[in-house]
Amino acid sequence: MRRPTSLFLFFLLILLSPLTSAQPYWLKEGVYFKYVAEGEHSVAITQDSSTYRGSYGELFWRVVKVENGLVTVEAVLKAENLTEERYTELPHEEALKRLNELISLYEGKEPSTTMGSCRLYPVENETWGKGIARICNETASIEFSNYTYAVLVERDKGLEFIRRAVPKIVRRTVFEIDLRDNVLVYNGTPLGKNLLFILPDKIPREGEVLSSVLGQEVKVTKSIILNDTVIHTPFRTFKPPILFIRTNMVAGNGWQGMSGIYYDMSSGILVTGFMPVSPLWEAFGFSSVALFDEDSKRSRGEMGGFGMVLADTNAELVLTKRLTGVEIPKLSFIVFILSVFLLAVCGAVKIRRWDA
Amino acid sequence: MRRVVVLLVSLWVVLSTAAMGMAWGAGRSMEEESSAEIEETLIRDPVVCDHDYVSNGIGTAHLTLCGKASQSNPPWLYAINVDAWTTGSCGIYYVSLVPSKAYLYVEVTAYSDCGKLNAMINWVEGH
Repeated sequence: MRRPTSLFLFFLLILLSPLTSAQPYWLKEGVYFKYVAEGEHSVAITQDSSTYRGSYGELFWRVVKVENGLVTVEAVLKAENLTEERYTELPHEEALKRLNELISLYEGKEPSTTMGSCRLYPVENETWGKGIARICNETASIEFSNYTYAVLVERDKGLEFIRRAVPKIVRRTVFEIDLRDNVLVYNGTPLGKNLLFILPDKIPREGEVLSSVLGQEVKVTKSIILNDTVIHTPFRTFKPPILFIRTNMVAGNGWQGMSGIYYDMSSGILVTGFMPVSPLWEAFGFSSVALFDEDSKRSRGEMGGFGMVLADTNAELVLTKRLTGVEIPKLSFIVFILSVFLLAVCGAVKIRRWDA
Repeated sequence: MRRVVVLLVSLWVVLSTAAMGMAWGAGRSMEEESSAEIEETLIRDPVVCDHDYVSNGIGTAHLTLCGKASQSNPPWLYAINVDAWTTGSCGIYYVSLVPSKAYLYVEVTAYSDCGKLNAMINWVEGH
C-alpha cells in the first residue's frame, strides 16, 4: 500500500511543483531580430513635448543571456532623416522677456524688407548658415533652412517653438524578459507585457491588460488566429496560422493610437506590427514610437506587412510547411505499440501485487 | 450764505456724477469697439485646409487638417483642427495630434488599416 501511495505522491509533486517557464525553442544567446519601416512619414516618435518625424526606422534586438527564466535583451532603436518640432507654453512675462531679447538684437538696424507689421533682417549663423529674422508686434522668429526658433506673446500667456533637422537618433537599452509571465522588466521594474514574442501557453486573450500609459490601461480588444493570411516580409514569407492582436486606443501628449500586431504561431515571434504604445519604447525613454512601413496595409489573404516588418534574424525557425515523402516505418510503429502495451500490462501486474 | 454753499456742493455732486457716467460710457464703447475690431480681424483671417485619403479595397481612410492663418500675428496658424474618419473595414490606428497654434506650417500623420495619411497646411496659403 505504501509504494502506490508514494508513487501517487511522487506524480502529484511533479504536477504541482512550480512550473518552469516555457522557453521558445529558438530563444538562445546571440539570437537577433531586425525590424524596419521605410518611406516618407514612416516614423513618428514622441518624447515629452517633442515630436520627431522621419523616413527610416529600425528596431534591432539581441538575446544577451538566458538564465533562470530571465532573458537579458539588448535593443537598439535607430531613426533617420528626422525633423523635431517642439511647442512649449510659457508664462506671459517669460514670453515677453524672450520676445524683447530677440527684438533688441535688431533695434536700430535697417530691415531688408517689411511685410505688413513685420520687419525682416538677414542673419547668418556658424551652425545654421544664412537665414532671416522676422520681427513683428507680438511675435519674433529666426528662420534657417534646418532650424527655426519662434516666440509668440498673447494676452495671458506665450508660446515658444523650435523646429530643427535631426539627421539621426540612435538609442540603446538593455532590459529583461521574465519568461514566467512574459513581462518586460527594465531596471528591476516590470513595465508590462513583452510584445516582441509570445509564449505558446500564454497567448494574449481579449480583455487582458498589457500595460498602462498615463493611467490608461492598454488592453487586448481582439485576439484571433488567422488561417487564411500569408505575410510577406523581406526575411521570409510567413504562412498561417498567424495570430493577430489589437489593443484599445489610448492618448498621449501629441498623439493617440492603438496597436495591431501579427505573430507567427509556430514560433511565437513578431512578424510585423504597428505598436505605438509598448513597454519597449518606455525602456528607450520614448512615450510613443510609430514605425509604419511604406507598403503597410492590413488585409486578409496576402499582405506585405503592417507597421514595422521583420527584415532579418538569425533565429533557427522551424518551417511550418508540411513534410512530404516522409513516413514512419510500419515495423517501428508496431514495435512502439507493443512496447506501450507491455509497459501497461507490467504496470498493472505490479500494482496488483502491491495491493495484495 | 449757507444756502449758496449747499447749492454749490449739490451742483458739484451732480456734475461729478454726470462726468463719471459719461467717462464710463465712453470707456465701455471703446472696449466694445476694440473687441469688435479683434473679432472682425479673427473673422477676416483666412481658413486653410488640406485633405488626404487612402483606399485598399476593404474601405477608405480620410484625414482633414484645417487652421486659420493669422494676419495680425504672421506667420502663425491658429484654431487648428484635425478630423480623421474611415469607411468600410478600414480603422484608424494612430493620429499625431497638432498644437492649437503652429508656426508657419503644421502637418498631421495618421496610420490606418488601408495605409498612411498625411496632411499639411502652410500659413503662406492663407496670405
